[in-house]
Amino acid sequence: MKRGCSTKGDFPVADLNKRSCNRGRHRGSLMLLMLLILTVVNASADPIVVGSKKFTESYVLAEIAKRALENAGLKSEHRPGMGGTIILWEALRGGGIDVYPEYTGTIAEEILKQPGASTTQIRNALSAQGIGMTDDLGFNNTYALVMRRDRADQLAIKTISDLQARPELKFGLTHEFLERRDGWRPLSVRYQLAPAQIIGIDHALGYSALAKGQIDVKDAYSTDAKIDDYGLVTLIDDLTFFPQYKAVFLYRKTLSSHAAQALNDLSKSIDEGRMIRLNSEAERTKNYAAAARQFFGTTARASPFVSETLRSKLLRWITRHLELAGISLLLAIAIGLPLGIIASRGGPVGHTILGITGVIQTIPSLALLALLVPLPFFGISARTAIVALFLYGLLPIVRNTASGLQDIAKPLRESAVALGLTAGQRLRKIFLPLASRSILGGIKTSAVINIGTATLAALIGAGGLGEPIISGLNLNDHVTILEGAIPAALLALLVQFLFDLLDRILIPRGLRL
Amino acid sequence: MNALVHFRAVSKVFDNDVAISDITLEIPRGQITALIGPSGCGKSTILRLIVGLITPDTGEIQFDGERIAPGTIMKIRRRLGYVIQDGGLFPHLTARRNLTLQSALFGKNGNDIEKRIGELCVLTKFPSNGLNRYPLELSGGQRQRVSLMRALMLSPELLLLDEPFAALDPLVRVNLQRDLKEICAQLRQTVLVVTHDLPEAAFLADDIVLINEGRIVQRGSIADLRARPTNEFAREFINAQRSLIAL
Repeated sequence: MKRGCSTKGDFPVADLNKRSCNRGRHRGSLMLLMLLILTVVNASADPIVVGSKKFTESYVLAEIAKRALENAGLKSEHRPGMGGTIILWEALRGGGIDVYPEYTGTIAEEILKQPGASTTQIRNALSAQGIGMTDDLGFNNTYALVMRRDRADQLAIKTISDLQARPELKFGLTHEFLERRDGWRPLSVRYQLAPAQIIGIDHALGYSALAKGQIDVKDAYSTDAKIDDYGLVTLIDDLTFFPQYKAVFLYRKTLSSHAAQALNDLSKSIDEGRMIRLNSEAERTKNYAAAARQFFGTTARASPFVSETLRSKLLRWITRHLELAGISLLLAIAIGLPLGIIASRGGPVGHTILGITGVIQTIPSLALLALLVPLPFFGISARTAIVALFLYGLLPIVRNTASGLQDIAKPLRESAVALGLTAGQRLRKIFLPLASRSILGGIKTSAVINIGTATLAALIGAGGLGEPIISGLNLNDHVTILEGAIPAALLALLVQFLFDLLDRILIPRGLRL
Repeated sequence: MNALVHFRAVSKVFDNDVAISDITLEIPRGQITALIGPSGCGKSTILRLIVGLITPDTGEIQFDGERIAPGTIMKIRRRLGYVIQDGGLFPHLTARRNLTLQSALFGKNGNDIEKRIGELCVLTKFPSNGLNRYPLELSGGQRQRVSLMRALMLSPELLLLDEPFAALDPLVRVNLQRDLKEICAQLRQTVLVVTHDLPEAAFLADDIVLINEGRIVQRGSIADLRARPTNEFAREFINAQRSLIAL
């Protein structure tokens, strides 16, 4: 099983127009930036890093792996809630993480593109890429279609085939399920389903929609705690369409045999019933580590786990969030300003610059991350998040710089030329200050966008305020979502306010009369 | 060879601007020469060619014996002063910074700069307490005085004025015209002024060049132009500008 939640961190932001002023001396700050980025990125070396996808079971299994490794005397760390199969897989191959829980069906279908491959075939194919796979953990978490029990009883629906006769039912399916090679399309072909209405909806939100009767049928996972919680019924896969999704751990073969052994010792230790209980425990307590502790029972070493206070969590999230947004903004200024100056001259080069930065803006954040993660320099790290944010931050700065410069009245341009100033003098002393309102406006827009978009960093385990937002979405826990969303909104307002102050300092007084 | 500027058979064609064709013209030193003609006749184009804002398609222009070309224009610009209709003052700089911008960038001594500003304030009758104001805080007439000071800062050999008073109200205009004439006489300044106003041209300059459709129609004093217009256009242009007294 694979749960696909499709939570994105983009917060649309209105386009604000203000401006800024630059003064020379930026080489130093660029160096500083690079240093900062390297520091942020290097924090991850020693411990065995366990990744997880953003759904409860993956979190719990990753916590179990972490504890198993720790019980074997190995240092380990959990990067929770990363953005999806492709990001985890690429991170594993690239060494950004060392271990993560995966499902055999997903490995065969999505990773190896060998539907129906046997366990041995899978193992060999993975091995060729330097990846090891444990034996299965003891349960099968396959996809399933679920309905509210009362609704299913009322319509006498027991199997997926029974849905054929009810095209009026509303389907709410996760985006991942809609797109998967073993998902909706082949399923609908096999079962001849043609429902009148299908919507794409986040996994956790889909349960609320189902409970409220806004949708009738949704995709789920067979060990999902919510099936019991919401009183749902799993429709029988009477044509045995869904492949086997047995849980395993994938790990890098560079791990010590000691570590690999500790992971392999977990195989056959969790059956479906136990997994559902663990999931349920995790969702009830909002504490994945607690569920993992329950798995190891009271015999486990006295837990070093102390619940982190909200204040310290917030501090950690906000610090990281500002780090991500701040560094990416500085980079965007350092690169965007010169690009904007070049773009302001128009011509093919100018149009190309504006075109490319515009196109970048249209790439969905998750897709951009998925593109960056496999690249050697990036992987799953704060660095990747910073680069993605930097790319999103470019357009407003480039565009506002270019338009601010282009909007300078012709008589003023010509006066500067006629005074005998060199091109550099004109730019520094006349044109950039005249365009400062527009440039600063671009930087402000970028800053606000970055604060919002930095929540996506959590999709690749880079932390920040996206962490509670994503885990809250997964748990359908509004309080947790708000723990991230409120500070993020306040930060955005604060940034806006600070830039308004900055306007007063950086925009020459003669332009504010 | 006493002329400061020579145009030799200069032509310039634009897609959407004023063209000039086959202009041959000399600007003598130490006097005011006025270029006059209806809107769109190409008179501003002549100034823009000297400043190097545009380059001629054919023909050549010499400044003090040196051909105006990409290689020489930067140096030549520093020997020119240029004032346009709305002054072209930079709104983000105070009047003083507008004046000192060039001098500071060209490495002039601070004391010399201050001294020069003092002289120019007296010369242009600009109150020195206005120097710390921004252009938007000055009246239109004051702005043109600052523009004139800026153009004169480096004691240019040639002062180019492009409709400098066109946007001002009549009373202010008359004062400025009078002051400008005095200043130029005092400095023995070589000036090329563009205007569409015949009385202004006649008041400022003894030497008037009448231009129409990109060509020179006639050159001479106001008396010559009135007494002996060379063609129908010249006659019409001069008659069109009746004085109040004639009414």
